[in-house]
Amino acid sequence: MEYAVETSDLTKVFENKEEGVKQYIKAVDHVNIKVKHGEFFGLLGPNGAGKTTLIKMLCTIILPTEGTAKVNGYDIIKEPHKVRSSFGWFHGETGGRSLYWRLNAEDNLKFYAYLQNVPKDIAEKRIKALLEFFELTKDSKKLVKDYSTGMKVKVMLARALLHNPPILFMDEPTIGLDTISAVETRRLLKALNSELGKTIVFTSHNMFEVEQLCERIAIMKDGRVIADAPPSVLREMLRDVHAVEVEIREVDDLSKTVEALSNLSIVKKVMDAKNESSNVIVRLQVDDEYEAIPIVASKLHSLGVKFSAVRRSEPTLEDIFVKLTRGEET
Amino acid sequence: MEVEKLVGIISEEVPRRKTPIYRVILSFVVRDFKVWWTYKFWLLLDISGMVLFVVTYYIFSLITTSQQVQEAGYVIGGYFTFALIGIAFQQYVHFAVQSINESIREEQWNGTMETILSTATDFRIFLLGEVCFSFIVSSALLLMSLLVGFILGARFYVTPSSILTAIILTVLLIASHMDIGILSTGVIMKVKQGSPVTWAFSWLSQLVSGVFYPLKLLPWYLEWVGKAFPLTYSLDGIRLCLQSGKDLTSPVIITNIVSLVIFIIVATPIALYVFKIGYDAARRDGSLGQY
Repeated sequence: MEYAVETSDLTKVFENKEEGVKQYIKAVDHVNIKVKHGEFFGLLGPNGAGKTTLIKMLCTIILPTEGTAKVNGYDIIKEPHKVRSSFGWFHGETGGRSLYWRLNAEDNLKFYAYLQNVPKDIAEKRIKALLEFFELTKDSKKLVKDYSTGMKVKVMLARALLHNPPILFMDEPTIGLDTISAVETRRLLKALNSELGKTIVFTSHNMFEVEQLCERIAIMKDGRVIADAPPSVLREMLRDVHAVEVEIREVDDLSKTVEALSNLSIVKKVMDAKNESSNVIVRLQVDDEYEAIPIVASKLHSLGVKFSAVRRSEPTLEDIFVKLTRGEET
Repeated sequence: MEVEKLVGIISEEVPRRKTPIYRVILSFVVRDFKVWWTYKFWLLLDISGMVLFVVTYYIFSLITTSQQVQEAGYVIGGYFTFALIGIAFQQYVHFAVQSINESIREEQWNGTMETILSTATDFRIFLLGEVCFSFIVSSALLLMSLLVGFILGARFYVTPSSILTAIILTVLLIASHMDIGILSTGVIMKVKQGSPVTWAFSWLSQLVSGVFYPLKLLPWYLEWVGKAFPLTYSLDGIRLCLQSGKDLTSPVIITNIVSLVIFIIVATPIALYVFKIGYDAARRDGSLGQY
């Protein structure tokens, strides 16, 4: 079967000279991934895990040290020109720098349309539609230098879609976007995937959107793929982890409360404590959730903390990510 | 370090005190010096460029007179026209060669380099596209400098055939120097510093290609070195057209044209090859977008 993206022991070692001494940094280490045509594939990893280097190799911008890959059936080393016609690339790491700031959005897009061999009339039609979708129509004649980061990101997204490629490399596409724009962008990507059958390789630090969008996820650490499975299967990896979630409505001193909970003998550790709308959600890893629930509730009561729920908690993708990338014992 | 601890450190209150202006300015100076110091070639090029510029003008002031210009075969306009054509066309090609380097640098600076090179456009088209506008501007400036020179007293031999021949020689001049620019860009892609190729080429061609004085006035060994530079043939041909009315029927002009064509045939694949080496080296280093 021909895959949309297929890597074979893809490796990248960078050479670095520090104080005259050569150092070798393995950014990508024998990566083997296979992404099916029409698949929404997530690539996760902490900063420096090798995600961007991997994508840049697939985009033919960086040459691999070892191994190879095929994009849309074309070899990235032997057929770079054919590969380049097959994908659209959004690289969020540039923060809007990869545009011509002294041109307006429309001219930026027109320029890239020509480079991507999009005929003039089709380009004009697509540019108009993309600008409208990203709510840039009224600012389309403004120079990009006067745009906010979010607006620049939108232009970059439009640029990646302009030539309607079969494969999209979306490296942190919602970075810098406001909530509504991020939601719209996710909806767009989902539609491009489900309705147009586009293959999407997606990276993000936002676990929620990765879980929401991706059919399969590869987690990278130190250049290696340490997990590659659908989210549901990944979640199974934490089936032995028991957790309870406390929804606190009102508390005088949160840190004291969290400390008191963590000192309970049934609590193994505090997984996280975060604000969610007007409440604070505290997640505790415990030996047995059913045994823990009344003990935790009673402790909260004795501390005078107003809470609305103490319930069993399912492991999240974030838990799995933390476990895998930190190598934590659960 | 624990997150809470880090947050504590960051959020720790510090007394609000404005940094003195001199300190802010000094920090800019220090920053720029540090950046400049990392580009060791800049230092070398700046100092060498200044010394060589002075040496060049010293040499040319010693050896040139209008009579010598006429004796070299350039009939009308005298030394002023001779030097005007030399300087105008030399600046033209220098600008052309530099423009490729600068365009690439600009793309890297803008962060657009990687995006462009990940598109379906071939890198040769990309290079050509990068320099076209600069050529248009520099061509306009060339014509303006010749016009200003004419107002100041320079005289040209203007016939349809001599102008046509001069245009052909100018096109060959551009093509040959594009190769130098592409070659030097390949070097820049790899070393990320001022290209020694452009630097050496610009200075040497200025010195030995007859920009300021007829080639025949140079010692025989420098005259031979001059024959390796396309500017020598272009300038000689263009001057013979514009100062002596020569055209395509002249054997000297044909010799110049053939020399330029040979240079282009030999240099183009070499330049593209060197560019490809630099381009691939940058792809290997992952530094395509860096300057």
